[in-house]
Amino acid sequence: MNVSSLCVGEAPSLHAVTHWRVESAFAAECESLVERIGLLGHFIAACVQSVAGEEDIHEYDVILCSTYLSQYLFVDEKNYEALCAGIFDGCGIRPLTFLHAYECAGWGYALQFLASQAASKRAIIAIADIDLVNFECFRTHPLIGRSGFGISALRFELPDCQSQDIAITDGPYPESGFREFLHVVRDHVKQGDDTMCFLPYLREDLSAIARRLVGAQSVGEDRAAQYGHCFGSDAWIGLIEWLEASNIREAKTVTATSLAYNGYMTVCPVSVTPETAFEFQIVSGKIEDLHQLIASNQSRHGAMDTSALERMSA
Amino acid sequence: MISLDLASLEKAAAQIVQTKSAGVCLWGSLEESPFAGTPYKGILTTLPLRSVHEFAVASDVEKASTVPVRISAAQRYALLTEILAAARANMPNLSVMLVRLCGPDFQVQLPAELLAKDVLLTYDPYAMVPRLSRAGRKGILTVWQDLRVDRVDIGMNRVSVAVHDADSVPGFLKFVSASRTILSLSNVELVAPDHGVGAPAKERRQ
Repeated sequence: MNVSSLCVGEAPSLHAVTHWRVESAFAAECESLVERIGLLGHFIAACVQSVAGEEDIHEYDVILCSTYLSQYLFVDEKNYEALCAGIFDGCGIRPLTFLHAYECAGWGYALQFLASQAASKRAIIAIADIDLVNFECFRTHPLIGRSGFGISALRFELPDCQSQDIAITDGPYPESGFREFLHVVRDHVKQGDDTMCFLPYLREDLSAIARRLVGAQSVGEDRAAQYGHCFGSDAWIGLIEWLEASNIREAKTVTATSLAYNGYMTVCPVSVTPETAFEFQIVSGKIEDLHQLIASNQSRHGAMDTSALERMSA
Repeated sequence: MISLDLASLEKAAAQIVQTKSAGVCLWGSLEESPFAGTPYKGILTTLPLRSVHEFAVASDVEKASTVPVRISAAQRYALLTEILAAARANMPNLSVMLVRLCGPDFQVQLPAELLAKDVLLTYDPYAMVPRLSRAGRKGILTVWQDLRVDRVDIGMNRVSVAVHDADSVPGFLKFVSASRTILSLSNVELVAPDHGVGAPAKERRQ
């Protein structure tokens, strides 16, 4: 992998990042799957709205990514329509598209595609990993460990470099690409003047290898013990916690990364400033609590059409 | 139904481009497996369901299927890879490929060809076309499919490939008449591409 092909000196600027962690089964009280998916649409919309703030969301290319939205989303075309309708009701846009095949690395493929193929300047990436059916077998994985569910939204300004890459996206590699991933991360961190690198949350033994190879001082804390593996959101949770703890006073370039189970990677330099807005909330999956978070977000970020949500609560 | 020889395709495409649209779309369905008689590695797994709730959810999503062909996830990737290779070989102005894939098959790794930088694997490839056209991009190929694979799947074994500008049509016709996967389809039609959201030409999906 040729790291020098990255757009030199110009990383995507992260203006806002939000992660909403869902601690228990998502809207288990909803009897129908399609209703639960509609509520998820509203939940994603509110998260997207939280990073859009006062910005006109229509000025942004919005892409939805997921690793773990259950395959049951796809057992009926009505389900995907319900998801998009919920998002549209909540924030007035449909996502440009929905990426699922890239697993946890999807957000990097989305950014790279938008910059190189659509000349995009403003992008919002939503990462949604919610267990829609509350199956015990989805809560842990023998290699990855415990799962953590939630959604993230990221608002970027993208540099003008169509001829160069803004993110390293690479694969497939054997054995989940762990070795190749760490080598790319290590080479990238060595080459740049990045201050911090945020890796996926890993099993303890794998995390120790990663820290030893990349350099523990440059790697964000591994929060697998507390949060589990949160799919494509790990790096962003790490970044949020780091922003909160470090109170930066000048612009910094950090590196966000993700690795897909099947051996595809994303390694992406990201510019953050003291103005980068960040938010991390933990919510139970109870409908009442989900509605409350959506409503409190609405009061902070202006009106949105909640009539569909009210109908759902009735 | 249309014959997949180049002369018939050119005649049909000329009519579509003149009267309806700048691009063309080819539809077909997989009625016979291109892999018939070839043993392949089975990757079908079952979820370790335990509770009453889990069994109830799983049985709710069960649907009877009448489609005559079921392939493996790896075979689906192989068909898509062949389609993209044929497009690359025959479409000189090919610029970007939007390919429908609904989700990860965690048991099977995507091939490098599907992870290429000019390929986007997405649920709804057509939804991206207007945005890319606005950015001035031509030579966009969309590959829509709902090939039914070994798992909970509602696929109806339909495949559609389309280009969205007139300049891409001659190369597109060469591509579809050269692709082994496209040639293996039945009930083939050439129509104007539908830029609706999600599945193209929804009325076909009844």
